[in-house]
Amino acid sequence: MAGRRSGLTLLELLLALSITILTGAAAAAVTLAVSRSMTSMGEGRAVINRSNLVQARLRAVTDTAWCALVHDGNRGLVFWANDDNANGRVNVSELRVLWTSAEDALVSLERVRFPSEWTEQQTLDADLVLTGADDYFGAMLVQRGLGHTFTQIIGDRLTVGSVLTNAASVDDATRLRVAATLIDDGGSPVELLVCLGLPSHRKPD
Amino acid sequence: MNHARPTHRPTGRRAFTLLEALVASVILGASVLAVISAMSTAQKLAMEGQKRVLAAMAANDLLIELSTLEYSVLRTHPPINNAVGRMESLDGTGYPASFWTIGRTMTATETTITDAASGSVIRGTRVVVNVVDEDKTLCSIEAFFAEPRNGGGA
Repeated sequence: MAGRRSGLTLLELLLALSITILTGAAAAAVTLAVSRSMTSMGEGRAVINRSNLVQARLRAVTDTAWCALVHDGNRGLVFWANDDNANGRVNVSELRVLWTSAEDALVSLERVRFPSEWTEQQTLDADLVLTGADDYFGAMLVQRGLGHTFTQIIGDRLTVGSVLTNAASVDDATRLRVAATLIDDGGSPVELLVCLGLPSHRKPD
Repeated sequence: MNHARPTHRPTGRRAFTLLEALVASVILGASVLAVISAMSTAQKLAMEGQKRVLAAMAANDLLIELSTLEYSVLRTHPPINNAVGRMESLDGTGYPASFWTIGRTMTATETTITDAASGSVIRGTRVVVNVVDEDKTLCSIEAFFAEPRNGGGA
């Protein structure tokens, strides 16, 4: 004789369904919150790592540079990297131009690199001496036009705001404070301040 | 002739006991708590990592700024004590909100070190930069600036 099996009552079924739905909704909410939090944390981590990289790349330029020659809010900063030609003056190959294009949100460093197959005399002839009256940015653009420059990206989705110095004239400055804005992966701006020093400061003659 | 004995099958359904239900609930609850705790720990560690990267950046910033000072100024530089969320550069520019979780201290102390190889004694200033948050030191950098031969203009 088969035992009589009792099925679920309507009330039990509704109760079970309600519990399942509530549990499912809670689990979905927790998963969504965790996912958002993880995304946000990931973006935060990425932007801090990019900041660190930007700082390191800028420092690689300034820690050894002798002098910041000029700052132009629309174009960027020009550094005198060294005096390889040992003449106390700025040769075009000793320039480092930090382009800060707000339109492209890109910061890059450009320097002259003459063709390696050139003779020493050819290089000396092309390595023009510049004076304070010259447009350093323009000189770099001329070299770029000739195909004699090399560009390194300092940071993308990066805009440079103000550049403050510890001296009235930028070429007397030994310290620079660069305020910049990085855009994170979520499109939010993150403000930065990078303090740079020119411990080997020396002005051209 | 053998006849198979009919197996006894219970006709009624056996429900869970209260104890079984409680044990199941405890196991489920403990699992959920363990997962939440692991996620919370992972988030804290990730935050800690971010703070430490920022701390290293802030410490490097100050050290490079100090390296631009004349030795005579560095030697007598008063301690720097930027409270958490109130960091500023050597020239007084405040750091932006992205650095709000950290603060910074610096001390400069005149000292001598002895070169182990030659035995010569070098006078200089030991600079210690600490970057802290509310309850601990995140990053500590020490640097020794040797006194120039002319005494650094002192």
